[in-house]
Amino acid sequence: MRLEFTPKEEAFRQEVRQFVKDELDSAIKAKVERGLRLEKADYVAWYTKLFDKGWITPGWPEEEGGPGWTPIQKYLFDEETLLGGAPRIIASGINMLGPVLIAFGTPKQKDQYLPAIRRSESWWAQGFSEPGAGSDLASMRTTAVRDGDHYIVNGHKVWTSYAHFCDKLFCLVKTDKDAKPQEGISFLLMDLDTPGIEVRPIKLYEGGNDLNEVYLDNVRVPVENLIGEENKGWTYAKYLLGHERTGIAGIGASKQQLLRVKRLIKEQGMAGDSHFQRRVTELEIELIALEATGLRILGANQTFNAQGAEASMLKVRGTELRQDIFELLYEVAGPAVIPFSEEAMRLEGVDPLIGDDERSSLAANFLDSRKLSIYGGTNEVQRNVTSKMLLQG
Amino acid sequence: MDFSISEEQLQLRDAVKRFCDGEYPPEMRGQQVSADMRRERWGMMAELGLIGLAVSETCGGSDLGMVEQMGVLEELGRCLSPEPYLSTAVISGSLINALGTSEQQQRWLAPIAMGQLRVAFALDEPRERYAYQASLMECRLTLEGEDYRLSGEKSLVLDGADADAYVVAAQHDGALQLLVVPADAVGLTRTTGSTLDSREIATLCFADVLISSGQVLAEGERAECALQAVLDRTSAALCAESVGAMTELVEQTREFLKVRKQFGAVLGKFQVLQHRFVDMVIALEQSRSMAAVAAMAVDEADAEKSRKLVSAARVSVARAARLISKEAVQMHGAMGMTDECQVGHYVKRLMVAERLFGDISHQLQNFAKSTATAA
Repeated sequence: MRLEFTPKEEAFRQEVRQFVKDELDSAIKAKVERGLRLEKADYVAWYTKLFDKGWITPGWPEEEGGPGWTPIQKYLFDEETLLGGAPRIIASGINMLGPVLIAFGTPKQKDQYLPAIRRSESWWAQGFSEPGAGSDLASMRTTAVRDGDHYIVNGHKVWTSYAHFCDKLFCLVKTDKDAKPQEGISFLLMDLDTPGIEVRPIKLYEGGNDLNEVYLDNVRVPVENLIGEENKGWTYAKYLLGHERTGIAGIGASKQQLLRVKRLIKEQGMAGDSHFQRRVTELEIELIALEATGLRILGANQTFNAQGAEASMLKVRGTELRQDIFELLYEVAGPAVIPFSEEAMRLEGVDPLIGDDERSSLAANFLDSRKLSIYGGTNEVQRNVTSKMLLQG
Repeated sequence: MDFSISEEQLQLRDAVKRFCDGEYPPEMRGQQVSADMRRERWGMMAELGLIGLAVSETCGGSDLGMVEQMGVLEELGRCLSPEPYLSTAVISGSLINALGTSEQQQRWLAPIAMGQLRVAFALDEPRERYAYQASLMECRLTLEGEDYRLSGEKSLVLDGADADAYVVAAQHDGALQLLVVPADAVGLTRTTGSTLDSREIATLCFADVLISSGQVLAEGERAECALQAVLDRTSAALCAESVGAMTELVEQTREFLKVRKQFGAVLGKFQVLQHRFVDMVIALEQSRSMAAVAAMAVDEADAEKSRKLVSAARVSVARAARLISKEAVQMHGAMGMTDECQVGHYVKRLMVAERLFGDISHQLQNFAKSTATAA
């Protein structure tokens, strides 16, 4: 056991820190740190810098363009980039589809799609959830019927993040209607400009529109766009959902937001407020405990209850802690959250009431933070999964 | 940061586990045991090398650190061991190890490692709550020629009822002194009793007890630094012990949820309990991580960083202990509130651990202070 990182790991941390300092555009950094909305161009600008450096796909194997990092390096990379105010990697091609293609794609599919994902030239949307299939994903009803060299896809996908940024869609479809819920599902790739696909934005309660609906009306998808085998899509989807483990606890993001809490407390002259002091201290301690647990999972000879459900535990604790931090930010802002403007959230022009008061955005950030315990498998589903490991057998 | 446990550390843990499973059968946990039995067990622990784990090799120890002791303490907590491991092996042992002259070490430390001498730690006083500054201590030394006289009262002396000697913190003209006082010193009277969790405790009353200079381990700033360091060490130890107790509480609750049937189904089938049980497990896993952080901090970090991480660990562990304790009782139903059920004994052990040498508020203050200094 060793409290400190090795000199090599510390040097790597410094390298990442310096890279963020040198390369991250200050306007993008300001938006991230103030919780404002980012445009696609902001993400692409940062991802291109990461691509040039060879750092865009830390989770991919080295032979497919990953940097060949240790788990600790991946962890440090996540922490340092987020702490430095860089945008998160939201691109589903990098986080989700890439690993699936690498594991189950044909050589042709890999050649066709992976390079464009790494260069941020193509953006993939995830078509999993449906109006009738949220947490209960397996009860989905979108169908794909074989017609010669094509599938004809009909259905309705929802909560599709950033589809308006995307040119492609990976999608779960039912290819055998008579099979049991988790069987008869296939994993299909499609161009979003295929006739019959319509993307409609969903306006969210805090004004954001990251989420979309995707309508699929007699969409013709070439059979070669199938991943792996027909009716085995559930296996690939599970692999996808289980793959993105590093960063699941959101340590870097939490650290960054806690710094923001402290700065806002100070700026408002409330450093002596014992309620806020105590809350900050408690959350800092919870963050240390979460971080230690994330790192302990990587250590040798560890004892863990619920072996195999570590990622679920980290997701639950990590998201709930981040929500607590956003709630504290919202409290710290006091009445300054009452005036609100969409333009101010996008850093477009100056709202006459709000000016450059960043506290206005904290209401929207708080509302937005509720998604954390809903997406990626609700925290209730995560607890179900974990308790299965603990209480059955 | 690397949490990897080495093969040697793993072997040590296994050996301790075997010892504990043999010596602390479930039905005896939380029960008072005879003094003879405790002496016998203490001797066995010495033979296994557990007491001298962190004692220098010249005094018969293994010269290892808190990380190794953590494994021992976790097991002792899991079995509700009433042995004076914390007071003698962790606290007094490390103080004499760090501060004692070679003569003092041969006199007290070597017998400690051999299990022949049990030394409790007398720090708290009746009038103050965790106020560990010399200037606030009413236990005072006055000079008498080459020697001193010690007067005052020490309370909450864990394992103090039948200890052979005490390390005592007292003030001399506002400066801290740490000294060793044998239990049979003339002028020392002890009032003995039991803790909430059925361990032994004492209040010590010193009335002009003669202290020779050879009994003084350290004074002034050297003593202050040593006291801060040993308080961190103690906190790390309490975290480890609590993790052991929580592990067992979670395990017993898990077993109960799997067998207890109501409404035609085992309790573990009810989602409301499943989710709450998962939260208990998450709290336990975070505590285990933090106990390790605390142990590593004590072994490696400077005073400031150690204080910060150790106080964070204690807050984290104490909060987890509360959650796990309350939920374990609730999930066991009325059975959980009986003396016959083991749950209560574990809950009480955790309650005592939470209040020894600084409660949650105290640790939160420590954390905030050390963060402010570090920033």
